[in-house]
Order: sequence, then structure tokens, then C-alpha cells
Amino acid sequence: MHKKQILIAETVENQISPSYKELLGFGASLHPDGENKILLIIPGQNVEKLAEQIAIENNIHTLAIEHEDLRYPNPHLLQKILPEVIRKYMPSYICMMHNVRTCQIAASLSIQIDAPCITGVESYEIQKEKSVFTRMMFNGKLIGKTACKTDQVILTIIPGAFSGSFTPDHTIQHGKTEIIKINETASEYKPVRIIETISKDNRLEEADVVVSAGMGIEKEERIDLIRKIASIFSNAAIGGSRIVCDHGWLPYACQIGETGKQVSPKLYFACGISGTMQHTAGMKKSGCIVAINKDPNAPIFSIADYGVVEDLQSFLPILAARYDDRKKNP
Amino acid sequence: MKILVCIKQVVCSESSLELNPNGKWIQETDSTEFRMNRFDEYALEEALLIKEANPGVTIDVVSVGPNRVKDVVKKGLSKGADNGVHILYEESGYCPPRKIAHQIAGYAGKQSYDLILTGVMAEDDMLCQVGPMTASLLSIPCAVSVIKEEIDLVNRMITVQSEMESGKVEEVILSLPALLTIQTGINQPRYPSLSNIVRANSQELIDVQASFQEESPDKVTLLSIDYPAKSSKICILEGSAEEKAEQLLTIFHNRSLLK
Ligand SMILES: Cc1cc2nc3c(=O)[nH]c(=O)nc-3n(C[C@H](O)[C@H](O)[C@H](O)COP(=O)(O)OP(=O)(O)OC[C@H]3O[C@@H](n4cnc5c(N)ncnc54)[C@H](O)[C@@H]3O)c2cc1C
Ligand SMILES: Nc1ncnc2c1ncn2[C@@H]1O[C@H](COP(=O)(O)O)[C@@H](O)[C@H]1O
Repeated sequence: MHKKQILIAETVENQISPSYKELLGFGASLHPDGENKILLIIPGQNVEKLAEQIAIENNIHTLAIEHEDLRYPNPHLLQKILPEVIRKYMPSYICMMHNVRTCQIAASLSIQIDAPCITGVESYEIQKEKSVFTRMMFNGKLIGKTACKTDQVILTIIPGAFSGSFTPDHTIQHGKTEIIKINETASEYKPVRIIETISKDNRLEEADVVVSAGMGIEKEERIDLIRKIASIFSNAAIGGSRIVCDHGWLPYACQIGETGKQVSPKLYFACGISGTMQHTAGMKKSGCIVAINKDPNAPIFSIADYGVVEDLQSFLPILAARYDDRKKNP
Repeated sequence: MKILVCIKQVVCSESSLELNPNGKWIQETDSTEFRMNRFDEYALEEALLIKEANPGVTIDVVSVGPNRVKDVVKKGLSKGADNGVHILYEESGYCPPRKIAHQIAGYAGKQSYDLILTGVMAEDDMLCQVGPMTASLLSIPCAVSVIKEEIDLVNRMITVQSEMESGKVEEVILSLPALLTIQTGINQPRYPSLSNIVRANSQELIDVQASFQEESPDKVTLLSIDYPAKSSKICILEGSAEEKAEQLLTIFHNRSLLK
């Protein structure tokens, strides 16, 4: 049987998010031996040419959905258009790369087309002819396996979780592109503009070592402890989890993660950071990851190279003192 | 103006989590600690700030779940919400977002709220679905991951900043009624005040029985939960704290990272 898939890419001002390649790779991996029928949907303001180019390059069918208000990702407008496209194409899988807006599309579609929806998929396997999807739960402390009972399912896929690349099959005919131009406007949801808030300060990106503070520091004063540790390295910068920045203990320019900065220093030193995927999205490519956490089951230990199970309030001063000793008596 | 804030009670993930015997959910014992979902604290605070800035605003808080969730509803009152609603949903274990959204929408649909706030995500199931599903069921516009909002009550519009990845923010204008999912950092959640604690202790909650009418059968099953595998490459340092510190310094030294 031909299992069909709809993959939905994201564009901002007609620039496609490069993660669509990952999405194609994931799509292809769903049916490694069967014939895949992929339709890649590209919403945007003016994306027909782009859709044609991607169709030819990858030999897949693409569908450009155009509207002025789709110049930014617009879950509200998309969820009005997509049900009809889905009813026509009858896909088994409807997949997007995971972020808060694709979760919004996935969840509202789930209600509208009455199909199950699993957000934040990290891996999948086939068990007794059923697809079983694995995802993080409880701030990453547990993983859950979820299955669904219908033939149609909506998924959002965690970036970086699937490395399978997409190899276009050029033995069959070239991919075709269709276009839908939307006329109606949704006055109840109007995109206005995009604002860049990230600071242009590159100290974090250029440092060899990033010493990062999570809520495990418990008190603002303990940022000093983090600073002291950073000072033992020759080229270090200070980072933090989102919650530490939300508390105002560090400026947002220091926030590492999905909605903060992405860094890949030689050493990432995570102090009291639990290690949810939203944080690790910004640092998992670091050369070496060292984590201190008093909880031996903290999820950060599933990506760290070295783990120290200690209370950082007592451990960091010991580390600093030992360093000073070494300096004095080399 | 009427605001509804949706609050989930979650287990304190700071405490260690035991699995129940069939491995399908966590084991709840008398000593299991629960608290308000972190994101919902910010959603409630945002509602309180709107109330302080605009005359005639009332805030209802709602939570769906077994009797223990009454605690977070009371917590909501003690922070300043006007009414607390508990939708009793007895089924123990995991409750899928679709069911929760049906319960919230079923209740909210009869109350004509101008604004519904949820957290971006529940810390236990981490799905980011209940907000948008509820909005869809009520056919009202929805913006996710909101880090700023400004209400224009005269024109019944709300301008929001919705967070994207890597420090980008999108500004969107929604017409009311609308649903927003609130992101952390939008404000600084307050502590309960003494007078509100006193009021919360004596105030009756609005008890609602879960309705199972509109609901379509659930199609997603949580088969099992488990601890994640430790990274195969990880080296957990052993010994006393001093010995671990020495080992770390050697690792840093060998990589020529120290001053
Ligand atoms: C859409 C979205 C985007 C997000 N974007 C980001 C992002 O860009 N960056 C980000 O960081 N987060 C982001 N988050 C939040 C993220 O989900 C987590 O809530 C956050 O990263 C947790 O921060 P934390 O590890 O500091 O705190 P917690 O999760 O509270 O963890 C604290 C850790 O410290 C440990 N600890 C406590 N006391 C001590 C002690 N004395 N000694 C040693 N260890 C101790 C605990 O065991 C725990 O593991 C986002 C969330 C959402 C929904
Ligand atoms: N049982 C519940 N009762 C009330 N609100 C809930 C419940 N579950 C989820 N929510 C709301 O929906 C948001 C997102 O949850 P989720 O979709 O499970 O990640 C939470 O931050 C809450 O505001």
C-alpha cells in the first residue's frame, strides 16, 4: 500500500527554514521499503518559484500556499486552509518540525480533522504493525511511548532527532508543483511585524568555555560562584537557562537554548541545569559537556560527557579552592 | 471583562519520580508533592496585571483533574483570582490534552470569557496542545508563547508579542475573544497575600462534573513511561567531592582550557 505523507515546511518572508531537509529525511524513513508519496507544503507570501525549485531538486510534489499574511508563519490562517488539502490527499502522516507554532497547527488540526496528534517526537519504532512514538515528559526526567489507533496521525518532530538524510529518487518522473492562492483574509488574526531581540554581543559564541547557571543555583547571589568558576578558564563566558534569566539573575543575552543563543564551545559546564530539550537545543553540539547536578537522574546526564552528582553550593567552592591550590603549588 | 486562566497541577519534578507498577504513569503516594505548573503561574500573574490596569475585570481560574487539584485552584484564589472552578475528572493516570481541552471548552463556552490564558506547556506531558485545542473548539483566535500583550478594550483587540526561536518575536493583533498561551518571563509572578489566603480558605469552589458528551473517543494511548537511558559516553566521576574536583581540573587542564 502507498502510504502518503504531507510534510509542512515553515517560511519567514519567503525564506524556507533549512530544517525542511530534516523533515524530508524523517518522511522517507517512515517507509524505508515501501513507496513513499510525499507532498511538501510550503506556505508563504510568494513561494511558487521556491516550491518549483524544491520539487525539481528533490523529485517530490510540492504545494505552495500563498497569501500576504503568510509572510510570517501563520498558524491561524493555515489551520483554515489545511483541512481541505488533507481531505483531498488523504495522508497517513502529517508532519512538521517541532516548535510552538507547529504545535499550534498540529493541535488545532487535530480537532478540525479529528485525527490524533503527537507533539515533540524524538524516535519511533514499529510494534505489532503499529507505530510507536517516543517523546520526553516530566521536564525530560521520563520518556513516554505513545501509540495511536487511527490510520492518520499528526506529528511534530524534534530538530536533530532524526539524522536520516533524504535521497531523491530520480528514476521516476519529476516532482510537480501546485499552487493555492488564498483570497479570504482573517481579520481576527493579523500578523504585524517581526522583531529581532537577540543581542549582537558575540562573547558567548566566541568563548572556548561556557559556564552556565540553572535554577540549581537557587539564589541570585550564587551567580558569583559561577563567575568565580568562569574566571579559572582562559577564555570563558557565562550563560544561563531561561528561568535564571526570567528571574533577572542574568540578562537575556546570556540565555542558551531554543529561544536563546546556540553555542558550541569546546567545553560547556552546566551547573544546576536540568537539561530539557529546549535548553539542550542550544548547547548539545558543544565539544565536551560537563554537568553538575544533585539529582543523578537529571536529563542533562543523558547528553553529558562527564557527570558530577553533587550539590553545587558545596562543590563549586571546593573546585575553586583546588584550582587556587594548584596555581600556588604547581 | 472576564478572563479565564487554565491551571494544571503537576508533580514537583524536583522530587524523584517513581513509576507505578504497570509502568503507565507515575506512582502517586501520600508524600508525592504537587505544585502549579510553572508556565501557568505566569499566565495567572498576567491576568492579575490586566485586572489591576483595567476596571471591571474578573478572573476565574479552572483546573481539570481529581480532587487533589483543588489545591492549585485555591492557590489561584490566594494570589488574587475572583472565582475558582474545579472540573472533576476522576480517571487516574494520564489524561490526554484532547480530553482536557473538551472539558475546558465545554465550561468556557457557556461563560462568554473575553480572554482565556493558558501556559505554553505543561511540565509533565510537555505537549503544548491544550491551549490551541481549546481555542479551536471555541472557534476563537489563538497566539502561542506570548511574552507581551496590550489590550484595547474599546476596539476589542489585543496586540501580542509571540516568541519564535533564536530571539525573534512576532507581533500579532487578535480580536477578542481570544486565547493566549503564556511564556515564562512575561512578568514576575507574585506571592499570595495574607488577605487573599484568608479569603481562599473560606471561599467555595465552583464544582463542575466532567462532561463526556462532546468528546470523541481518544485515539492516542500512552503505552508506557520510563527513565531515559544514560548517555553511553558519559563518565560519572566517583570519589569524594575533593577527588571529583581534582578529576575535573585534570580534564580541563588536559584540554588546555585553564588559565
Ligand atoms: C517554547 C519554550 C521555549 C523554551 N526555551 C528555552 C531556552 O531557550 N532555554 C532554556 O534554558 N529553557 C527554555 N525553556 C524552558 C525549559 O523547558 C526549562 O523549563 C528550563 O530550561 C529549565 O531551567 P533549569 O534547568 O535552570 O531549571 P530546572 O528545570 O528547575 O532545573 C534545576 C536543576 O538543578 C538541579 N539542582 C537543584 N538544586 C541543586 C543544587 N543545590 N546543586 C546541584 N543541582 C541542583 C535540579 O536537580 C534540577 O535538575 C523553554 C520552554 C518552552 C516551553
Ligand atoms: N488539567 C488541566 N487543567 C487546567 N488547565 C490545563 C490542564 N492541562 C493543561 N492545561 C493548560 O494547558 C497548558 C498546556 O498544557 P499541555 O498542552 O498539556 O502542554 C497548561 O499550561 C495549562 O494552562
